[in-house]
Amino acid sequence: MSALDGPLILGLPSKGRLKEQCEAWLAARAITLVQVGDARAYTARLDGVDGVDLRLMSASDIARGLLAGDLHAGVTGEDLLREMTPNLDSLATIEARLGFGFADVVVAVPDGWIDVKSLADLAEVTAEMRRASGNRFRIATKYKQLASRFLSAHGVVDLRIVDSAGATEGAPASGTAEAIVDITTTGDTLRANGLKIIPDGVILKSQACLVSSAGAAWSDQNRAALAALRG
Amino acid sequence: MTGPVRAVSPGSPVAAALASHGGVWVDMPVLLPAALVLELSGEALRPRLFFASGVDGAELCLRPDLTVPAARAVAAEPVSGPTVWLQAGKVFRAHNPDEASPDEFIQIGLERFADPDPVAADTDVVAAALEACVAGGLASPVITFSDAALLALVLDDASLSAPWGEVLRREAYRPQVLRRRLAEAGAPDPAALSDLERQLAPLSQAEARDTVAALIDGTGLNTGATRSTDQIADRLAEKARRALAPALPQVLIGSLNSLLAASGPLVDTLDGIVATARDLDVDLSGWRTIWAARIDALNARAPHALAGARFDLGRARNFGYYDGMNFDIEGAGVARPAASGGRYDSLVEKLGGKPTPAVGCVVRPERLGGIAGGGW
Repeated sequence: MSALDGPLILGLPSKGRLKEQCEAWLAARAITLVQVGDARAYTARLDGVDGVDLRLMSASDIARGLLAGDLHAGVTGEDLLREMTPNLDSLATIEARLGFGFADVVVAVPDGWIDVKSLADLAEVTAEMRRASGNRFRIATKYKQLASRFLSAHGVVDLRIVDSAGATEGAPASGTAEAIVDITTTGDTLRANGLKIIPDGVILKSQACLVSSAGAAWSDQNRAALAALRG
Repeated sequence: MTGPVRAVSPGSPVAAALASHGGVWVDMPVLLPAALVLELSGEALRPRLFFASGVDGAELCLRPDLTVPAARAVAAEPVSGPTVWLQAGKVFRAHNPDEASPDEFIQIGLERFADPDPVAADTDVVAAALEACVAGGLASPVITFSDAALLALVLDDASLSAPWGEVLRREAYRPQVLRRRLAEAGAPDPAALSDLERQLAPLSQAEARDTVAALIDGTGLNTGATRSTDQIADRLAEKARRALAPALPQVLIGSLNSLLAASGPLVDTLDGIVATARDLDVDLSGWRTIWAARIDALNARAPHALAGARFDLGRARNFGYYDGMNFDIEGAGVARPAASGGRYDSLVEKLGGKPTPAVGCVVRPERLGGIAGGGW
């Protein structure tokens, strides 16, 4: 079976709240996700739409699959896609923003930094730290590319990005970084960790998106299936 | 299509021209510690770097240029005397999304370390770069010079009222920030101060620090593990002092702005800079003499080298390691510099080595336009 007469390969989040929200979104299109076997297994199919081969994957594997052209379409966060490539618009198309999975990627600093109200203030603080100690200001994040592009573009240059795979909000208190770039929905976790968002430091307002890949081979049948999903 | 070819060998025209003044061909590591490259360049380079993982977990990157590995080698093992290295090899920089340039390309480079006569070394590097460009077929080459150390030189000597002298000196290597600070110095804005900043302005440093500490600690706010309430107080007080300080006279600001914008034919622009500096009570005759020596030496070596040559202070690299004279060579119909170079006297020390004067250049042969498909 060549790629061109094959089904549309669709990646959906494999578990958690995002999976439930995807099921509700599909239900509005009279499409049902039918689990094959145990509810914790990652094998499933879609009833109510033809020509779709469903893959349950992690949101970041879906993003990677879309950029590589291994998936025709998928539901994932815009934040993950934009972190993986500066070139999203030529590799993939955001077909629909789905109204769930909201996450703002923000620059946050300790809430006691009453002198920091803008990125211009942050640029001064970073420069001052380098002048005083010789060390660069550290920003902990898993969004290394988004953070470095955004901060460079806003003149915040005296910094080092340090990789943080989790519990990023704790980095300033533990002393592994001075500030962070992370996602937030309500701001509760930031507040609980004594952090505040810099008002002009919102890098991206992300949500779950239905995305099609420019790198996959598309047949008319695949395009029809995508249209049915888009609704 | 001729298929794969060896693009550069020491005997090919561009390489031979660059090597015509001596030097040893060397190969430098392609893998560098990512943290070191980012520390030198700043995070602005991160989107352009290719990263690799060492088996022991070390975060590495592919070299984005030839100079950093060479300077690192000198930092690790000091040179015993004047040393000239030639390199030809791939460097790796992810292309900008809006450009069609390749992610890996060949550079041919020349680095000189520990020369006793810096002007002679500068001249040699500029002449070699130009000869390499001509050998590679670059049409109508034009050299544009700049000087990354000039603003620091002027600001160190200019008589500028407090606090502006210190505020401006700090930004001598960042023209964009310097422009913003100049605008602020010309029109300090007390109305922009917060109530707290206004309250701190007349206090002694100790009083201001106590006030801010009481405020932050009293409201249960956090400063993180590495920044103290003292640092926050000092910054607020300094901001207040700047806003309440007398403005810097417009005539001085005008002179500094015209220095920042200095651009034009080489000799006229150098003379213009000296005249402008005089308005700031700064004597640049020593600086001008060094440039005159470079120009004379280049004219003696390569009579047409400086035809159409320009000086453009805006070309001084903001984030690079060049810290003195630097230059780009462009040609007719070539959008980007085909060669560039300059002094990086502080780089070896920054990399942990002993202070070593250094100057170098690099040629991008595929931009020369003369020899299609390699054989550079």
